[in-house]
Amino acid sequence: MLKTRTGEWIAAVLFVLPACALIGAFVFWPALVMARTSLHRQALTSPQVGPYIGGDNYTALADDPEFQRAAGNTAFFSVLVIPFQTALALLLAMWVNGPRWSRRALRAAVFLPTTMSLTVLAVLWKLLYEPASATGAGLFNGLLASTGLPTQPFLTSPHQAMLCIVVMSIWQGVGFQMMILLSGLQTIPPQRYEAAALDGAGRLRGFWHVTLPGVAPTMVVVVLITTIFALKLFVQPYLMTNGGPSESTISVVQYIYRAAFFQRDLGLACAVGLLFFIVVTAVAIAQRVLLRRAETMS
Amino acid sequence: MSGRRVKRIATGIAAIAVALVFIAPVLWMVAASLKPEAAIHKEVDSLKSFVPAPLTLKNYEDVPRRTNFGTVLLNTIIVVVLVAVGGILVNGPAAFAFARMKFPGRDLVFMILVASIVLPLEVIVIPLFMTVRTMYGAVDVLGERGWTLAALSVPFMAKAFNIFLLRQHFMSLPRSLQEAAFLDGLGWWGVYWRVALPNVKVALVTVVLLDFVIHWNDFLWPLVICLSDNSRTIQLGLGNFFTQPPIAWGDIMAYAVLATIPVMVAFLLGQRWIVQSVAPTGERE
Repeated sequence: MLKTRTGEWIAAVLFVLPACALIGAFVFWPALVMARTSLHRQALTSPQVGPYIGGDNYTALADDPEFQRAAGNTAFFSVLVIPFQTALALLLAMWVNGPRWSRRALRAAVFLPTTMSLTVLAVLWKLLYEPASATGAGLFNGLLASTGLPTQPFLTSPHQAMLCIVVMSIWQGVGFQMMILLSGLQTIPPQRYEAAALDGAGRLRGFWHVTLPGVAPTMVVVVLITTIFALKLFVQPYLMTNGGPSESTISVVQYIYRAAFFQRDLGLACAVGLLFFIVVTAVAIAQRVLLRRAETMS
Repeated sequence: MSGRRVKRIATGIAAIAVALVFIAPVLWMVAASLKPEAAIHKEVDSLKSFVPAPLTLKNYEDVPRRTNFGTVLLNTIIVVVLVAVGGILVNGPAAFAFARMKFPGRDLVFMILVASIVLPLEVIVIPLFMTVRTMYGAVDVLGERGWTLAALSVPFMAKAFNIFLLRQHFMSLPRSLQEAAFLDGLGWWGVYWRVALPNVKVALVTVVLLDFVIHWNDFLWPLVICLSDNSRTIQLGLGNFFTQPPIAWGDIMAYAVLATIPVMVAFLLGQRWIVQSVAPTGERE
């Protein structure tokens, strides 16, 4: 039986409609609501849209030192996590790339924390980081004490808290990046390494001229994922430090959460959300441009 | 020859050391969950810290006694099942249509959907909360707990990434399969449901697993939307128990272990499928 073209159209629309309606209602519509609300005064509890106040929410943000802390902290976290986690993931991926059982075991070990929830791991690491006290200490301070090194305040110090969260986050996330990079490494034909070796290239030059260009497109994707992952930092500081001590770990997402539910100011929360939206979009566009360039490289 | 051997042993030891860095905290969590409270804070300066002796299951008895663990577990299971089942029902047909059918605006609509993949929930969490809140009227029908479970699942059934992944797999099916089905008198739904869908099982398992892991582990959205103790999910329950006095680390670690086991099992069962379906399809067969 031959299918008519209109029949195909109608069927296709019915197939696509439920998904499009849901994504429209729960992704695109909220994005529009966010843009509109950011220009209005809107209390948490009032069901109606408040008065139009132009860019007042945005100027309020610019003047709010807590927002500057949150943006600065998130930037600091990202600037540390993105390069270190990506470099570590690449090293690990090159190491575990191979069929030997020890490599497979290492791969599984590094991947383990990635499969666990950030909530569970934040709670666990909070305990590991416990400062030494009369009742005992966390594992890390216990280890420091046993090797004769001075114990550290870790999460209770405004200077160390964010670094502690950085370390924990890299530990948690690096396995995922490693797996993606591993799939990228495996697409590099071994003949290229052989050709480079014939040309007299050593290991370092092989890495520079074969591995890096070969893995470049995957790398762009990995950096994009890591960047977005870093920018949305929330669970770790929320559970481990609640933004403290003295706001040294408050993140942008936690600022949004506080603006909406503590200050009960949805307009302000949406203004931050919109800025966040612009940053994510810019990162995604940069990634597309870079990806095209990386693909011509490999 | 012996130099090579030394090198192999050295890299082997280095591999074990690195592996321990990633496994040790998790092992410590399991050990702490099996220890009496007083023992957790002692012996932290030695390897004994990783050995649960004296061994006790008291912490695991405390969790259901001190918290509404059963309710929270049931809520989480309901949410992930709703997301997974709803997800297949809406994402599957859409992915098939984008892969196999011709209709005006197809590529444009697909591009717009795919553009939303990079947008994390965190960006739109507040306006999503505002949007979902306008549907609070349904609470009269569903009850408070039912409404919350719906709010936790319905917004996440349709996912652009899942549509994207399934579409890739539908596109790799041979056209002859579809032609034969039409000759057998099947309509578009029949082709999709009876012929195409059973042939992309690997991708389906992947999508279900990803949904399961993402929503089992989610914290922010439940934090925003759950109004009462009885409507919480498991991660939120843990986050709450974590700050609820009296603080007993053994109990908290037991809760954390219990919240982790289902995801571990899912990963172990599904790992092979995930790798197969995300890896470039051209390399298979």
